[in-house]
Amino acid sequence: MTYKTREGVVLVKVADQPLLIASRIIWGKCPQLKRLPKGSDIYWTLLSKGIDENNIIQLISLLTHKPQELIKEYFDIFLDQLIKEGYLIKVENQNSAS
Amino acid sequence: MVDYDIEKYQFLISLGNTRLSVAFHFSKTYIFFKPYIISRTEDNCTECISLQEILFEDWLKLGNETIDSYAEYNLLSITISEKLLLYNHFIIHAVAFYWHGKAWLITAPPSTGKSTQYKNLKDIYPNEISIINGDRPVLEVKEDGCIMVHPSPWNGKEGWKGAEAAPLGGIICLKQGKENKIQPLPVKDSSSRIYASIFQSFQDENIIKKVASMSTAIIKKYPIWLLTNLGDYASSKLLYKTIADWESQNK
Repeated sequence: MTYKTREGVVLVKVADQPLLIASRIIWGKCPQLKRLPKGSDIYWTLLSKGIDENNIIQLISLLTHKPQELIKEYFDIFLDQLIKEGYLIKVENQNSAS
Repeated sequence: MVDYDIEKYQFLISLGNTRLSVAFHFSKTYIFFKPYIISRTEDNCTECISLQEILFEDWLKLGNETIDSYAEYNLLSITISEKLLLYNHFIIHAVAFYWHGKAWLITAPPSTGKSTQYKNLKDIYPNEISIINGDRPVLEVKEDGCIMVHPSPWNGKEGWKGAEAAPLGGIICLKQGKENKIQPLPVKDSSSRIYASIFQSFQDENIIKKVASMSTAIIKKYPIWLLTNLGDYASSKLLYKTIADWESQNK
C-alpha cells in the first residue's frame, strides 16, 4: 500500500507551525484547514514526493536516531488521521494486487 | 450565469498605502467605495480587478437570493485582499479600534461577540476608545515588520468607522464561554486562527502561501490573547486591563 497526498492541499508554515490548507477545488473532500503537530510536516513533504511508507520510516529513523518501530507507530497514526480526514489517499500497489 | 450590467464601471481606489483599479459589474457598487475613490479610470483598463463569477456562486450558496451591488461590494473584499497581498497589504476579519496611539484588533468567527466587546469598551471608556473599522480593516506589513491598521469600505452592519490608521498594538481573539478568562494564545493555536481571518479565495497556491507569511508577520511581532468571555462589562474590563498592563510593561 502507498499513500498519495491529495492534489490541491497546500502545506504552509505560520510561525513554524505547519498547516494544511485545502484549495477551493477540493472543498468538501477534506476540511479547509488542519493544524499538523510540529515536526510532522516532514512526513507530508516526503509523501508528496511519492516516497513510499517503508522508505519514509527508514529515512526519518536515520535523521532522528530513533528506532524504526517507534517511527512506524507514530507514522501509522499520522496516516490514519489524514486518510480519515481526506488529505491523503490510499493507493493499491500494483505488485500487491497481482 | 449572473445577470449584471454589461458595461463595467472602473475606478481608481486607495486602500492603505496602495492604489488599485477596480471594475464594478453593478453601477451602484461604487457608492460603497465612495470615500476611497480617487478617480474614474480609462476604458479598457487591463489591470483592473473585478469579481470572479465563482464568488457570486458562493454568495448564493450562503442562502442569499439576489446578486446585486451589495453582494459585489461584500465579495470584493476577497478579490481585493488577494490583490493587496502583492503589496504586503491584506484584509482581515476583525473589529479595529484605536486606544492610546495604537490599533487593537478583536477577531472571532461571525456572531461570536466582536461588536459586543467594542460596544462595551466604548460604554465604559468613551473618551479613550474610538473605532477604526467595524468589520474588515486593511493591514499593511511595512519593511521593518511593523504593521499599520487602515480603515476600509467594509465597516460591518453597524457601519462603524471614523478613526484614522494607526500602528497595530495587538490582537484579542474571542471565544464564548461560561466565565471570563484571558490568556496569551500559544503559536499552535494563533497560527490557524490568524490564518483563517485573512480574506482570500483559496484558488491560488501562491496566495495561500503569501497569507501564511502575512500571518507569520503578525504572530512573530505582536501579542495575541484569547479572551474566553460572557460578553458582559466585566469581560471588557478584563480585556482593557490586559492591554493596559501590556502597554505599561512594554513601553
